[in-house]
Amino acid sequence: MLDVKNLQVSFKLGRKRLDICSDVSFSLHQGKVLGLIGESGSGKTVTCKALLDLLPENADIEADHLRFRGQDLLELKQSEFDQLRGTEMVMIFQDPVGSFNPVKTVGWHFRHAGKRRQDGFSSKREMMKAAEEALRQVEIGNPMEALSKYPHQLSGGMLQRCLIALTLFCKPSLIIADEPTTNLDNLVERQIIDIFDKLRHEIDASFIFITHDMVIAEQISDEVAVMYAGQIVEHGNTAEIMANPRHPYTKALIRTARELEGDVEFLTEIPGDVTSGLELRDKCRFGPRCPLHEESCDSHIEMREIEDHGLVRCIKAHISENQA
Amino acid sequence: MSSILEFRDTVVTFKSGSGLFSRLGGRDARSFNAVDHVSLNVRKGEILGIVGESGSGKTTICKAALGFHSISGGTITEDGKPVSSNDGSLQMVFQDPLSSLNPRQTIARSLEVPLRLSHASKDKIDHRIDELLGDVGLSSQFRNRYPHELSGGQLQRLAIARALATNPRVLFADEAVSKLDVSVRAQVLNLLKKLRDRYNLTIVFVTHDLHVARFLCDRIAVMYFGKLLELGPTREVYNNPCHPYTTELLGTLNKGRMLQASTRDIFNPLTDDVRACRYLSRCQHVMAECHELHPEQRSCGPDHSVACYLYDHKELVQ
Amino acid sequence: MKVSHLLKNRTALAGAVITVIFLLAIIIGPIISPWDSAGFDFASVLQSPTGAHFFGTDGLGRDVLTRVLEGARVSLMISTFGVGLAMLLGVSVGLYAGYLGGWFDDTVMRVVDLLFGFPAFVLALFLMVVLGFGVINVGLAIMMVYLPIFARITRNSTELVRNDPYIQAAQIMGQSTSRILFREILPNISAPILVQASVSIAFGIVIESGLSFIGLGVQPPTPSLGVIMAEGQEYFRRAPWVMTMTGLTITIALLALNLLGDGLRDLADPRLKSREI
Repeated sequence: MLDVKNLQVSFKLGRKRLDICSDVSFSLHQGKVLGLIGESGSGKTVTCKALLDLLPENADIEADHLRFRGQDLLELKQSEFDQLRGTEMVMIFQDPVGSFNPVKTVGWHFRHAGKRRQDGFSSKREMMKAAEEALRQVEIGNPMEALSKYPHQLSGGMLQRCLIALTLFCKPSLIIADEPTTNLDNLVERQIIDIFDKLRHEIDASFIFITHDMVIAEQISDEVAVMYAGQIVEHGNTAEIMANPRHPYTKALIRTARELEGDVEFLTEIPGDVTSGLELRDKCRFGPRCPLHEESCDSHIEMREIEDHGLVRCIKAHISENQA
Repeated sequence: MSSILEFRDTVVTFKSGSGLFSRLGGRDARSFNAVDHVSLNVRKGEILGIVGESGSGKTTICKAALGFHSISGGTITEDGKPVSSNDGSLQMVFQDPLSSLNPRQTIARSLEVPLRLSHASKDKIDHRIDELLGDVGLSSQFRNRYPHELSGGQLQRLAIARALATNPRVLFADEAVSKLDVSVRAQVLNLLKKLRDRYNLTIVFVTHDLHVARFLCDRIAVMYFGKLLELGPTREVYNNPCHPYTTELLGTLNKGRMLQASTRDIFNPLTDDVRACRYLSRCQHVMAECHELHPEQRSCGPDHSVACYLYDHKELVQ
Repeated sequence: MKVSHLLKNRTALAGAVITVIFLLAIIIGPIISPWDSAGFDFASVLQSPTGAHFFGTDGLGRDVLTRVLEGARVSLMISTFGVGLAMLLGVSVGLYAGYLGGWFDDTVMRVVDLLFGFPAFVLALFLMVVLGFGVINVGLAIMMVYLPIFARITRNSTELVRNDPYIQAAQIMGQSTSRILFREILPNISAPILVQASVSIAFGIVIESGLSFIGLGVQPPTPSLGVIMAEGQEYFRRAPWVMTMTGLTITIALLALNLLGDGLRDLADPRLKSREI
């Protein structure tokens, strides 16, 4: 479905050049969910925006290829790409409020999207029926009423559901969700995650789910890719990575999540922050914060395949959990 | 354990629709209680967690203690006397560290300002700045930097240092780690615990993150649309939640399936009945009395109280 | 931040350069000029521009260039004086209004709205009739014209930032209101005020020129751009250069200050911060 090889994204600022992502490669099969995990500065959002050409003018995107259903996105004409974006490939953003036109009803948005759908509708009634169906899929009990509402009349959680319904309505092959629950309250967040969990089994679109929360990723993704300072540092099957993380950063993230679920006096700290790694080239970017750091880490680190596990960007990946 | 801060039947009222058009329409601006008759004691040296979702009033009640909102009913007292907002004994750390610092002031200056108000000498102030930076784990090299040069974690630690500068007795932290990266949260959370131990500081920690609340707080207060629903020691509340809402909240920590939602789900402070139990529209155990009046706090365990008619047979608290 | 960015933004740079040249001209010009701006020379009355007199001479034989430069200096000083006072008072009032809100804010803003109701020139005219003529009074009239706008933009900016966390933190620190207004808020909202100042000074010159032109402003023989234009109008057919050159000077002053203002506005754009990184 999606095959990304060697994606590099950088921004030009005057004479300076800021590298955001480098050496990002992954593939996603049909119907699978990839959890893209990272914190600020990891490049997770930029990677996905690069796929959908949503980056600003001064962004420079380079890759060996960005294949979507066999076609290389980089080689498509603008008009061909525009056909795909918003219909076959969709993105859900963090803030549902900003995704709706405040002076139009939810129904208007569906009608607007309906016009673009590949398989057309024979009548308006048919379109609205499909819209209601989509709203029911996200567990909205009264879809007719929802369609008639304006965005400000709906809560954040309801709006996010409507947005998800809107994307489903387009019948896409690829859905990218960028931290869709971060701004929502606990109960609503749980509901939305459960909806995603349900949807991934019901429809055959592929998902990329961006989050910083390992626990959420664990629940709804088939594979996870952990990003740090612009690179993927670990990639593999979710269950395996969560049970046996190999990269020190992944280990640290999981450890913090487990500690917060458990009972400790003090949490294990990861010293420093991501800014120490952003400027490093040909060195391990997590090095300055890594408890296992040594001289040999100051060289270009490639992704290595570890048997029965996945890919890890660390020369110490063979060290097992209890030795870290 | 003695109380350091007491909320007695506190009410904070907000007016909605105070814009031009509603005034033109001739209607009185409708008001609702963001904090609705809440009684709560904060004990000396404890870390009290206030958890709730948006609209619960958890932030409002802290801002009321600090004097940002006026109280329309009840009292807030510190050691028996009404709280005075500007003597530095109550301090706050905000959710977004970057916007809580003046972008045009260096770090040293930001710390100097509160210290200068205590009229100490220049040398003493300089020394204290270094001390404060050390307390929060920032080196002196940050003195002449500007806020935009620091990372989120460093900024939050600076904000804590600044709050400590006035030697506060109670520190309010409003979602202090929510905007920080996960890998950095541990630093700030550990710091808060250590500072509490070292300075016998009392901390009121507002959050919607149940895991963080469980790690950090000694007691938990659960709020919902202005009402205090449950209060008790953290372990006790998490293991034996009494209020149905608490159970529902804690349920989000498990990976189960939740109920459907409709557009009419949430309590609307402007239109729904404010005398009845707040949780009415979502509760599984609704009884006749729930429609009449919001229940009072009753004891439901050791040092554990809940506002729910399911515990009607238990004794009242206060 | 400021200087290096000023150099990169072409509008601001152009504006700054022209303004500086203009300022130098009007300060140094009259000093180095071989002619005395008040020196009558009936022998060379109404001469067209020559090598000796770049702008020619006027009806009383005075060198027009020298006179225009001095006049520009007077006009600029009056406008700056007026706008400066307007800024001082308007910003102070705006800060308190935006911060305190309530009846003070409402009252102040209604007064501001009232003053805004008058076209600038009409208001200035009215004030001159009330106050009487003369340099100082023109300055005061300009002050009255621009006071409301400083009050309004300051008040609006203050209202936007007054609920920012760092202001709340300052309140918790126990800082006095005046300290918060002038030390915490003002530095962070100074950009639109400065932009407004440069634009106001530009149009203040126009107001002064207008008033003096119709005889209700600066009184001759004190030179100001308006006064010189009034004189030049009398013999416009025979010696158009007087009025033309004066008009041109006003245009250049306006251009310089407006470009500077535009440039400052670009620089003050908060989006610039994210471009910095």
